[in-house]
Amino acid sequence: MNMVKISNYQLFSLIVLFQVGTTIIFGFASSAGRDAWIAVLVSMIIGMAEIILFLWLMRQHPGLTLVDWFIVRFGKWIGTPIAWLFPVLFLYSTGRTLRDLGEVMEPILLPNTPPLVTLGVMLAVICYVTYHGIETLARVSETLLIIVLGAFCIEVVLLLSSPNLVSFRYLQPILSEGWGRIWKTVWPTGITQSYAQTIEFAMIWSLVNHPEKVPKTTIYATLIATAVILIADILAISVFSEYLFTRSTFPLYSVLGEVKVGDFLENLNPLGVIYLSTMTFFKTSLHFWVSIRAIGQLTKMKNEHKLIFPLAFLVLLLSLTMASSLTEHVHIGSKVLTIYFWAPIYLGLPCLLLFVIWIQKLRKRESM
Amino acid sequence: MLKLRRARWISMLALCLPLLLAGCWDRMEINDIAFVMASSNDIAENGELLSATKIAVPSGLGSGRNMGQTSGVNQSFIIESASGRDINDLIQKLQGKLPRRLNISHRRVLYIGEKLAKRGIAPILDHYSRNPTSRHIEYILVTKGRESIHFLKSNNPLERIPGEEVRELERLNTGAVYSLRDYLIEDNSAGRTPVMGVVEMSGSKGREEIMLGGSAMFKKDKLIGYLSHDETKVMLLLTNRIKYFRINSNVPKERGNVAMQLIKGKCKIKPIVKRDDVKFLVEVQIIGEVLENNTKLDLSEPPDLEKVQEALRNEIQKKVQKAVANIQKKYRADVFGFGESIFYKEPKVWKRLEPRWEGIFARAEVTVKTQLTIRNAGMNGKPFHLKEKGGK
Repeated sequence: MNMVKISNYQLFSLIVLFQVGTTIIFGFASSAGRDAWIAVLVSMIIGMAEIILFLWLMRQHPGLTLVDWFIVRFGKWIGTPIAWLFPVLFLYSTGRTLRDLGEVMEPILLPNTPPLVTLGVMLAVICYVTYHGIETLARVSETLLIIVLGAFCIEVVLLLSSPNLVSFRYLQPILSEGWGRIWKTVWPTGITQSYAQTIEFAMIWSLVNHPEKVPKTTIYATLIATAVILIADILAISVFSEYLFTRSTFPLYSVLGEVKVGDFLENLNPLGVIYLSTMTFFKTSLHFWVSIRAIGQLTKMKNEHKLIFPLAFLVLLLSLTMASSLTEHVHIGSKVLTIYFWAPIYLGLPCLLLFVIWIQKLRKRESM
Repeated sequence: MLKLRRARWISMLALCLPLLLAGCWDRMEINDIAFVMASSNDIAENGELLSATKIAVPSGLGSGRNMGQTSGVNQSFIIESASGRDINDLIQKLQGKLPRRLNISHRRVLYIGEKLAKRGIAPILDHYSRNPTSRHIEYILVTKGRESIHFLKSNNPLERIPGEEVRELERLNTGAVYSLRDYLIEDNSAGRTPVMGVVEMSGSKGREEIMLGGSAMFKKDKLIGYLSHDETKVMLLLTNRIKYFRINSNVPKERGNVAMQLIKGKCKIKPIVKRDDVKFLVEVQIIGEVLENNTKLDLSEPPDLEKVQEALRNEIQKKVQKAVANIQKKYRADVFGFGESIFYKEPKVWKRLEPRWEGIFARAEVTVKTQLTIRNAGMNGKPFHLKEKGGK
């Protein structure tokens, strides 16, 4: 598997798709009301700092992956259990993203089809791409990025050209409710959702053709992903006003139903289905591949393919049973998972690593 | 040999794949669906909700030629009604009468009966905004004077597709037509009284037609009153929604009158707040074209055009002032979003004023400034009758 190489453009498209993810359906920071776009910017600034931290850690361990970092720094006995936390969480994320698909599919698209079937069929495709490995997934992402960004451009143009639809005055008054509700969405959801999850790329960075270009590519990709989320949020607020925006379960999906250009272009919901299926397919595959690779590395397994089927079964079970309703699913996502799992593991552990590296460097200098 | 067997297995598996593609639990063929074009909501005699839906009959929508001779047999729509405690109850009863599944995602119009509107529309609005297949862009209208179910029955001979007439009327922009989304947003924005379009029946029995008539104001989900045609026009002008506006005026010191049509209308509301003393400066900008000129003025002469412009400007100014004053005093309903303009500019001041807004709005001093430009004067310079008389 070490022969695998992906190009920088492929890395770029992987990161953009990963960070935009299902946000393009679920919306970002909608509880911040009309100031949600400020929350996006604030999250990006903090998220960028996180990503720079991950990149710095990568520079400190050239050629190594996320799970190796901990083993190298903490030793085999302490490092291995810590490193195991990541694949477990990634695997949970796989199930969660798959569940996201089910949560939109069931009420809106295919109400009578059992989730086992929709999710199972999707998972079969995901297993197939995972079987072929990251190179294939990266090539797929090149194409998907063009499709998704193209669809998004069409959406923006059509929304803006619908008469009496978008009115930017709904963004006013800016910050009238103060920073309180912005911080509530930035911490912990905003900065963990898209940005801290980027730590999964620490499993991929070592595979890139030109490692010296990785930081630049990652940062550009983050900026593009944020721009997409920002534009989508601003449009949704300007279409729905604060009231409907905060109330809507899938604001960025519903916004597509509002388009009305001329007398014939209405109901753009198929675009939403394109986003949904490409994004969940892609994100789930990436989560899945990353967790399999991490487990493979930790167990020093020679043929990681053996892991695909048992783990896929586990993921399917997880996604079907992790929550009993959308309300519960969202609650876990925003109240439990982000604070108690993502923040300490995705942010806390890398910070700890940073701290340890500093101390080790200081000691080296002293001993010299 | 082994390879061959493997290839056979794979091709067998591949043959099974189409089974996955064809089977679908949510398959919905177009001939299993009844498309709802419009719905009405009223109060039944026992106090329950009474709702009716107008459903398109596809065979009746066929080619245009045989439409003229249809008489009931080949109708393009049917109406089904039911009563129930809430909308879901209703839909269940309606569905029981129909051989096809109701599909509301193409509904254009939602009528609300006057009586129901007075009782309160919050219970029915929740269903319409929650149901994922119902769309926010359908028009929502109050039926003035009669139960809304009568409006479903009307079928304008000009329009072949049922329910289409209201949509077409809206496209001509002759009156106020608001979508469900507009209403929900206005109802929940600070400092604004939500309004809805109104339809009336005109004409005599047997030959009745739907007519857009003014607009309806709501407070706390209850209908509190109607705005007249003129007031509605002013409301649309002040909320930047105006599309179609014709105005005529006498020209002072001249006999006869002139009439213009609006090309573009814009309005800015500027709040001036000093403690509890609230003033508004309303700046109206209109570009129009003259359509009728019965005076002796020659509109190709700038001084004459000036006079006409002045007369029309004063007329609009008067209309706006009158309508605003009337709405302030009579209904205390801020349909123009005056409060909203304070909220946008000074949210903190708005927080202080909000609880007493109705009273403050009613007393607020409103200054109207109108600017009118006549861009063109139709196809003639001088009026026709001038030419005849000037011929000597």
